[in-house]
Amino acid sequence: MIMDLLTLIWVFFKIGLFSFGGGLTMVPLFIIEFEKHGWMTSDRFMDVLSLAQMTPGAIAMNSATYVGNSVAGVTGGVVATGALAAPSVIIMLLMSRFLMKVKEHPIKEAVFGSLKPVTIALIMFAGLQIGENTFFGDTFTNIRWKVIGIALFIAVCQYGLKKINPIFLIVLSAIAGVLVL
Amino acid sequence: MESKLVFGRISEHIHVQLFLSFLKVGFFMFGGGYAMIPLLERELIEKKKWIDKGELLEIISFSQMTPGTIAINAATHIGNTKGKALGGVVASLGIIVPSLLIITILYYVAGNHFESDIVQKAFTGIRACLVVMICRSVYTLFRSGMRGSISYVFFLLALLALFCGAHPILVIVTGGISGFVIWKWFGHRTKKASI
Repeated sequence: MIMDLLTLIWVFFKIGLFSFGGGLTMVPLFIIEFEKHGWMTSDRFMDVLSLAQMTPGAIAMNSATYVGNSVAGVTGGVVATGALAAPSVIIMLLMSRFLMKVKEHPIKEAVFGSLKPVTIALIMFAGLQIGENTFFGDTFTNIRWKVIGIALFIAVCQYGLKKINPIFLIVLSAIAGVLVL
Repeated sequence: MESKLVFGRISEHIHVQLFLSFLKVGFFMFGGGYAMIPLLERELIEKKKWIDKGELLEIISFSQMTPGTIAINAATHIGNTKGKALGGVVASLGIIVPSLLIITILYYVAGNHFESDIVQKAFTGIRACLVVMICRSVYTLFRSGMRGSISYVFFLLALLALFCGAHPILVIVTGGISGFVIWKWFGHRTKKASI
């Protein structure tokens, strides 16, 4: 039991430390480590991943909680999730201090001045990717009109009610999905 | 009466507010990563006024370059600026707790049968909603983050690189370095154009 927990901490801390660029980049690392320790086959992990994507929360954290639970119960879930988050919390605390120190520095202004439009492009690209997977089937000729209808409905709600809470929109779209699709 | 007073004081405490705000974001963060940006905009910029749009963009680009998920990085940084290191830890806990609660419950309740039809439909609906919300975020960020024609050059080049399959980290690092180089070479002129 203690050994299981220690292995969980080690594996998830390691993955957390070397995953740059967000949750989905961790997937290959997860698969390698889980197969190595015999915790989960990659087929099974794909099921877990789809669960992790359908539930709220960061995808990587959700997967860690699930796998931790399957290895060492509730304690395992807590330990695995904590170990996965720990490296980014520690590193970000140091970076954050640095960022606050250089707040008005001209070099920082220059670097972030060019990073802002780049970041907007990244967000837009992510939106386009989600849109592509959501509005189209396997091919571009396979258009899912009902889903596009839901999106238009949400867009009208968002436009009509200026100060609308995004949480309300999420709940509304889930209900619409169950009723229409 | 007295307990009400005590509770009022506790809920005003910055660390409690940080935890609760990020707990709320965590509970409604579907789809991971960039999908949380509309939620962050609403909670941190419009409601709490802890950061502005420019700072949100800085945090996102920074999160891409440090290990870990955007959600945790954003929570740690904002928590740290508002409530020191403890604030950072507390805000990150707020993001993690929903994952822990929901997945642990599902693990024991649903077991192996979580491929339900209704959940699938609801999730497809949510994804349609995410696309709309991200579009709006892009629009508002575009209006506040773009300054001078050079911004548009950076934006279009980054988008082109992404469409050609470049890795996001590569795009960000290249963008940051070229910003620095341009500042170094044309320092005064670009400062007037305020890239």
